[in-house]
Amino acid sequence: MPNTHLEKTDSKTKIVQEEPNLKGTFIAVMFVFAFLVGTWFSVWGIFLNR
Amino acid sequence: MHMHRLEKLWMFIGGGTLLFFLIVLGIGAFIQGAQPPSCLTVIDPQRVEAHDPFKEENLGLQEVEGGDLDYVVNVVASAFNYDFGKDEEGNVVRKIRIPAGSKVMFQGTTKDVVHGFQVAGTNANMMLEPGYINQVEVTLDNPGVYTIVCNEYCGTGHQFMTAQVEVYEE
Repeated sequence: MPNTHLEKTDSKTKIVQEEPNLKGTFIAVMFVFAFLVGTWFSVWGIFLNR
Repeated sequence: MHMHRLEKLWMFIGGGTLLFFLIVLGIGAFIQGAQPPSCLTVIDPQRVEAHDPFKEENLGLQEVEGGDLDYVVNVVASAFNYDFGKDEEGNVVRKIRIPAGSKVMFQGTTKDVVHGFQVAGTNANMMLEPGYINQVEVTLDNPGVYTIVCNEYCGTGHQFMTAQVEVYEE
């Protein structure tokens, strides 16, 4: 006869949400930021110089 | 709501950039008085020569005595020509000669359809619309020959609609 007895039913499972690692995403966002600022200032430079 | 530290940081940078550009716009518009090339100055397109700047003798390069400006260039566009009047010998002006460093206001209108007026390679670039007078002010510091082009498609001869500005060193 199979043993249907559950030994541990009262244990609490602790749910730990780990912080995702966003370092790579942050670097990608900074690339976009640098591109926007770089193009804006170069166009402004053209405007001022001619 | 919980947010990642880096997420907060890049949202702050994004918001800051938006704020920076809005402040730049605000300074230009409200402190320096920047406005679009045309500020709703109207004219009857059927009778442009009734308006002083566009009388035959006032077309082309006009020196300005005193004031902020050195020169005014009056132009009447029509398909497919820029009318800068005539020189002393009675020849049609195709090239305008301006000394380097001059502050110039280009002032134009059109008799028929919408035309463009761009002095390619400078910051002078505006639309000429029937019924409106448009103006643009530039300081021409760099010597050279610049082509004036129509950059609004105006008909079959659009690509032939050109003139020249020569900026020379004194």
